[in-house]
Amino acid sequence: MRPARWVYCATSDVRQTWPRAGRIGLVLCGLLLAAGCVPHTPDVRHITRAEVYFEPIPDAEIARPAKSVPQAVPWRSVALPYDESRRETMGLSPAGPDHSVRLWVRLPAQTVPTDELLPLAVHYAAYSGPIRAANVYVAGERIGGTDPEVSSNWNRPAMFVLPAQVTHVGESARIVIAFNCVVGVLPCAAPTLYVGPQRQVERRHEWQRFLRNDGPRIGSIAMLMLGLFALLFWLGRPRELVYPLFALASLIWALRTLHYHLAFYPGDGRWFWWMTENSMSWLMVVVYVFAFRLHDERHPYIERGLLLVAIGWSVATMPGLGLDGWAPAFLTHVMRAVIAVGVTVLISISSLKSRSREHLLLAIGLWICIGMGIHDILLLGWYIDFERTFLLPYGAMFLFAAFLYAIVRKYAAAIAAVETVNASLEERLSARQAELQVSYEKLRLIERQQAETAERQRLMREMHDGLGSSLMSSLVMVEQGKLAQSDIVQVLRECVDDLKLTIDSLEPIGDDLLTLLATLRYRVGSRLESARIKLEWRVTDLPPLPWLNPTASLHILRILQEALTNIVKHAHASTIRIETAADNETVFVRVMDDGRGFDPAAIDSPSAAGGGGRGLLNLRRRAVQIGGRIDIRSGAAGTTVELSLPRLQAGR
Amino acid sequence: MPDIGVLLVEDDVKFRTAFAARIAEAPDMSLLGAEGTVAAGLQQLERRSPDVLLVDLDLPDRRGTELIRYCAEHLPAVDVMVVTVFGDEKNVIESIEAGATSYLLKDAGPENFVEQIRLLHAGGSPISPPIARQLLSRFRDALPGQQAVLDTSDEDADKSSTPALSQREHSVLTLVTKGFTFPEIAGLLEVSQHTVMTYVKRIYRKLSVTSKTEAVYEARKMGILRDE
Repeated sequence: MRPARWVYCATSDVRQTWPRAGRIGLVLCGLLLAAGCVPHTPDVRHITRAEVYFEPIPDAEIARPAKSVPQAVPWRSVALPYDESRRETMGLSPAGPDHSVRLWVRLPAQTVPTDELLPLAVHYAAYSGPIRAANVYVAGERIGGTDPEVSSNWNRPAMFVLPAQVTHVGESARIVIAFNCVVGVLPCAAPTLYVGPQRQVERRHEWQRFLRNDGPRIGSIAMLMLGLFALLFWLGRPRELVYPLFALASLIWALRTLHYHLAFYPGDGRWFWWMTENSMSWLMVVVYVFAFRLHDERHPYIERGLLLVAIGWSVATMPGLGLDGWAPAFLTHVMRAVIAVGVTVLISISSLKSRSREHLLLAIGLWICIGMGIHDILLLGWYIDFERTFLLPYGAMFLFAAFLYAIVRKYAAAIAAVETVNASLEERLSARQAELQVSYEKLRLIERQQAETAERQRLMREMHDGLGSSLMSSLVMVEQGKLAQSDIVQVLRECVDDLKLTIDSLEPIGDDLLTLLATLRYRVGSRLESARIKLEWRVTDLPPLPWLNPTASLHILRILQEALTNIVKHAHASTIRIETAADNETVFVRVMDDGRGFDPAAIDSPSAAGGGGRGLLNLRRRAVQIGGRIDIRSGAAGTTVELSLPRLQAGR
Repeated sequence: MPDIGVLLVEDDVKFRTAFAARIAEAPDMSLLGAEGTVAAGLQQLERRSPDVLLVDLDLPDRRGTELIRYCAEHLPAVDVMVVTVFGDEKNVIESIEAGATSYLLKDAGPENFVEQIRLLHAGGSPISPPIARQLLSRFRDALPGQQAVLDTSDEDADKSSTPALSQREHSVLTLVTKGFTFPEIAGLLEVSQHTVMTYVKRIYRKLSVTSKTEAVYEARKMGILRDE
């Protein structure tokens, strides 16, 4: 296996310097070179001359062996491989029906070097013809043959082990091989033979088995797996047509390859051969559509034409329709080759224009396939040495590798595009974030300024209404000497109380009205105690009031403080009850006393706008400002001041 | 029963004079000193070892909390009372964190004034609803990883580094935020009023400990302190 070793060395040398695609191509090249050579087996005799004899046999005997070698027949000495056994040379009518014949091949009498421990074996590489059986005879007796059950021995190497006592092949122990075959359009031919020690012959035989049967099978299974991978990929990206096309191509190729390695066909094999012949047309359609898609080209006429031709041929060559013979099949092969050359020229031109690596590789793959396909057609038609190996199974590997490369490039390009998009998105996002940050900062500044302004205005108003006016009026009166010391204490205490209310309204009580009420009680509790008024605290848990800010808190505190002050000053009450309640929309705070009561209507009237009237008006004004209302009920049993507050405020 | 020894640190001369007079009038109290600066207060603390320290927060040389912290660390037997104008949440919480267990409003009437001192010395502490609310939320989001804020047992949890509120303490704070007075809370919880007040004092001490732990935690997080 010297060539194979050379290939290995070459690949390891160029690994660093050659681009990936080049390396793949080189490996495939090496494979092909290896396919053309055989193991070096010095002791094996290559038999290239022999004597032949034709024996017509009944059709029923086509699979059966002859019992013994015919005696006293006219042997003819010929060179091997011998393929001139056509009907004409056999004196049969060229137009007549096929004939079952047995081709006897007698090996020359000559000494064969032996391995002392192992018997001799005889082997032929392959038989490219309609062979049904091969049987081996030594000294006139049959010693072995092909399995009579196998559907076809086409393209199958064979090896037969001779009995141990046969150490040399002389006159007394001639080796004779009989090939049962059908002579029709194709000849019944005799391949060259190899005789030698079993171990060495076996090596040759195994190598031929690999090249002709196992290699194509392994290749097709590998492609089928890649096809499955592409199919699964397609499920995730249903819009990319190259993936299912690849999967379809690998499936058709697996069907096409079956005849290279399958020993048993279903039925009489007619449908099997129909599939084998026509799968090539189907494959062409898929491959060329794939190539067009890869180029982002649409050739609807070519695509439709290819499809029509494939369907037409498939239908026309169906078993039973008359065109399923060997001649139409061979003609189809030739026409396919012509079409393939035409379309491939088209693809090559656009590949040369686009100069993209995957397009060029694909074109090269197509040309390799066409070259090897023509080789195989010539081989099929007996125009070249029929012992050669079929090359298209290996040529397809180039093509599929080019496919795969294109798909991977496409995928990698898509990922790269996504990464680019992501990167630019990230950039834009961070830019936008920075912008947002800036505008957010601006907004926060404005908000803070607004809040400061609002707070300043609120404080100003409080100073004017509350503390400021109280202090001013007290100052005026003190200056006029009209205030007694107790009154001064009273005025100042009220000022302090008001200040405390303001402080309390600023405490962080959140949205909790009850704590606000509690704060008021904490402040005024001792005052009521010293006025000998009992406070009944009948509060319930209240829902949160989201709008309860310091301004609203101060309004509520002032309202309730005012109500309490009025009771202490005017009602002569002994008990004050503060209770809370809530329904779905409103929260109620009630301040009730058992004092002497008054007529709210009279006090509310404009004429009573002095004195107590103004206090009540103030209450109502404050309640309205926070979206609430004041209800006052008064009678002989006392007075109830009810403050109703909304649970939610529109606009807050 | 010996007199309650009171040390007063207050920079406003009018207030200082008025307070001193009230304490002097009280039959069960003796004024051990009336100072106007933290430095002078510290000297007096060492020399006189009072029972009660009355301290203002805004002092000319340093912040009153320094005095409070010194007391909490070196003289734990001293009851510290902060004198404040409004008893607002910010100042009071700051004082409690430093180690004060009570506060006194500057405008409290003469009787109220000495009564509060007596109350404090007897183990009680006042608490306003906003402060109770603040404490509840402080203990609710105590330290990270410390989920069990509520002690199911009623036992004092002072020994743990970051104490949690007991069920009773939590109830007291909640009722305070709803406006109930100590006598009412005592009735609702079926304990004496004095017990309620000791709960409050205990809560104050817990906050002081918690804030210290928090400070250590924060410092560790910022890399100022390292775990050795």
